[in-house]
Amino acid sequence: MSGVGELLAGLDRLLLWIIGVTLALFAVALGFTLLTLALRWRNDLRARARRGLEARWEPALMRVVVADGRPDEVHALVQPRQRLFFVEYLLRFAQRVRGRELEIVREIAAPYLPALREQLQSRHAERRARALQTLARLGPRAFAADIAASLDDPAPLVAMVAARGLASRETPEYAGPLVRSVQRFRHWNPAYLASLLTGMGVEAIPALRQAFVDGSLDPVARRVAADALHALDDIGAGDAAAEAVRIEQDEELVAASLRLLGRIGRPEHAAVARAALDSRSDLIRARAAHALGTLGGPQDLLRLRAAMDDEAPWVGLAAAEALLGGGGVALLQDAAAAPDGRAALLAHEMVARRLA
Amino acid sequence: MILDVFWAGIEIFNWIVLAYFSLLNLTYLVTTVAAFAVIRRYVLRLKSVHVQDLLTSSGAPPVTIVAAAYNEQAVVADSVRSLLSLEYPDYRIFIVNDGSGDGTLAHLLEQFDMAPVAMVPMGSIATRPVRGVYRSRRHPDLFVIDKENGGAADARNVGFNYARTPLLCVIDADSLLERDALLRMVRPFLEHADTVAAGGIIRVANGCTVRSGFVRDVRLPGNLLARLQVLEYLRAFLSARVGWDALEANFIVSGAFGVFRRDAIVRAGGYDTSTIGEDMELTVRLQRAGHDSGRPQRIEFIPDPVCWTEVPETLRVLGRQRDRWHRGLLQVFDRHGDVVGNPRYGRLGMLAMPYLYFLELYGPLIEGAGYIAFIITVLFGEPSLLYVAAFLALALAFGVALSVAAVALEELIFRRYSRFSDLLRLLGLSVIEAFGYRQLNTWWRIRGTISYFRGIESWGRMERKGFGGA
Repeated sequence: MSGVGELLAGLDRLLLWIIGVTLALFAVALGFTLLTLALRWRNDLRARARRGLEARWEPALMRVVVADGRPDEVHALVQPRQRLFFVEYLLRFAQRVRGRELEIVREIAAPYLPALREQLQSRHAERRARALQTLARLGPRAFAADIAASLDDPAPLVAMVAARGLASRETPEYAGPLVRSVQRFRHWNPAYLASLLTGMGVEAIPALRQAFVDGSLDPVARRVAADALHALDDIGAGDAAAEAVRIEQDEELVAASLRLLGRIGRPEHAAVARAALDSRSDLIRARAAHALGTLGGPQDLLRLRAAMDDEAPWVGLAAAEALLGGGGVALLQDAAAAPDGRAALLAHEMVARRLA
Repeated sequence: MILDVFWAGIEIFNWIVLAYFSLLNLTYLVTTVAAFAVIRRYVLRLKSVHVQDLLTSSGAPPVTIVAAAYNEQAVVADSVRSLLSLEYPDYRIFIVNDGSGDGTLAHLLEQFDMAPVAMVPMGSIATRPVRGVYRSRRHPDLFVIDKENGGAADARNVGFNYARTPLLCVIDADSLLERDALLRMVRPFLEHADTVAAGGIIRVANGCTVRSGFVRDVRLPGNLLARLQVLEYLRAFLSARVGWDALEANFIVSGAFGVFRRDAIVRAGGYDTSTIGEDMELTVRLQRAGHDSGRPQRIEFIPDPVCWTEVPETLRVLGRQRDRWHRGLLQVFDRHGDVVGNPRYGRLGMLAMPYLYFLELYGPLIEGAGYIAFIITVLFGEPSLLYVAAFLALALAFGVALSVAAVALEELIFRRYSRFSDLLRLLGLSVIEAFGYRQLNTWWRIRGTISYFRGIESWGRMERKGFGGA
């Protein structure tokens, strides 16, 4: 021992430092190696145990879901310490089934869900989100109030999981709060948010219309509402959409309104689309051309043909598609006869599409 | 007197090498620690987001997959079949035939029953001329664009011009995506509207069993060089890229697998065809554009969407690849050297680029010269053997700790290598790679520096064995 002490005393500080760091790093490497091996051992054990449990539960679960077994038969197989894992197993199963089968799975899960509710108070956002996702899938109606309350959760992840949980036809009474909460998800992709809201079905239309015309809301939220109304084919939103095209300044909101108008508008709204075709924004001109294809009449065909030569290729494409769908095939054939130019190529593409 | 000056110089240089070595490994250590923190949270987060929900969602943004193919007749049909079976609600596939000299085009046209189609490019990135566009009669979302040879970057740019979807996915025509890879890759674009690019993990397919265009059984390759690259890729993606992502200083979205917002990439002018480091160059350019416009754009690395690729199994081919990578890095600094240390570019300018410049770009030269100085000291000087041994042990310890940490990350979260024997081999490789492989890499990068200054711009041929799948 004294030999080692003497040796160390004889070394300078740098060398001691190098030796110290080296030993520490080898200890870290050894630690990671042991951790890796322990993880493998634990994961293998756990996977084996889970496979065993699932093999026991599955026949009973299938008897209840597809035959006429009772939920008690499955409950009897679940030990108290296995409850959380059983709920996880049910969640995975529930993600694969619909309708009556899903309802039966929910009935089986019901006794275990109140315990999960406590996790909504967890310090960890990920744990709250996971619990919320489980409750939304396995107990959407029983826990709707808890899920709605989580729309105000400080963690965006939890709030979004709550929004996804509420965005279903099963909880139409929460359409209002959900649509209003969209403001909070401004940084999310608007098309995705719109599809989320569409999941609530036509019950959400009044709340969506209200959000669409509410000038106090963020333009992104209003745009999301317009896109959702578009997906829901809300024929009552035409006048509001035309008004938005006339007066709003936000480019994306105007474009979304034009898209909505193109879907559900009436011929009297064509004038709004015609005016928008002169916009300075490429996006608005492209949407206007598209809308004019469905709302306009024969008098608009030449206007659309002219738009095929627009400096922005997307406007040209939208105009060509509008001509194809709006009775302008003869004009497209004429354009295709031109020796070159983008309009001629677009016309070629449209004519070929028609033949296909 | 001259000898004294010489030895003093050697000593000073040894200190520089020590400083470089400490800084480099400290950086690796920081990114590894950051990766541990981030990945653990990321996996918990994934548990609360059911990615399959996107499949039924009309909100999943349409994606165009752009795959450049050059002389890929042997593997391209398998790759296309794999792409056709991806789990994603709305996507198109553009295979851009970059003037292949073999039968790539004819093979594709015949295998997928393709016919010429009129299609107008919406983008205006300058490219080599396009000779024709074809569409499959059996798979209406599959297109082949035939163009004159201009390199992978030029071929991808053609794909960008023709694409009409908001998102573009870039992959190599000889790579294999996992079935849900695209689904996982678009998630950041849904969660953050300001995301312009996202990269996924590239894994080594050598040794794995591939059937019907998908990796079915993950195994370590039999070839030692390929095995060492497995470990290297784990370290590069799970430790380094995740770590840099956690520091919000991403500097590369690999051209082998990345998703981009179309408007951002077209506005930026697509890939720079005059560089061979075009993927990093584009990533840095996108980052710069965001900072210059006052609206920094989000570029993310996501560790779970997987793209499998074949890696070189011979020293000759691997050496050429590393030589090319290093020349690419030098070219990036040719164009973006002013970002280094420039606070205007946030963490990119103050963290990532200085790291790349001082430690990765010139690191091999310092390391190579360090080896020479070290040998001179040992052979002709009066070295303290204790110092020599301590320094070598320190280098070994750093390398082993970082590699084992990457293996631990893999085991903690992904567990792709399910055989216990493969896991043990990976741990063993952490030690083996320090003896020879690391030094070879240094040499190849030095050679890349020399090639760069000699004006060599060739890509070098990658010889592929193919996936051997049924």
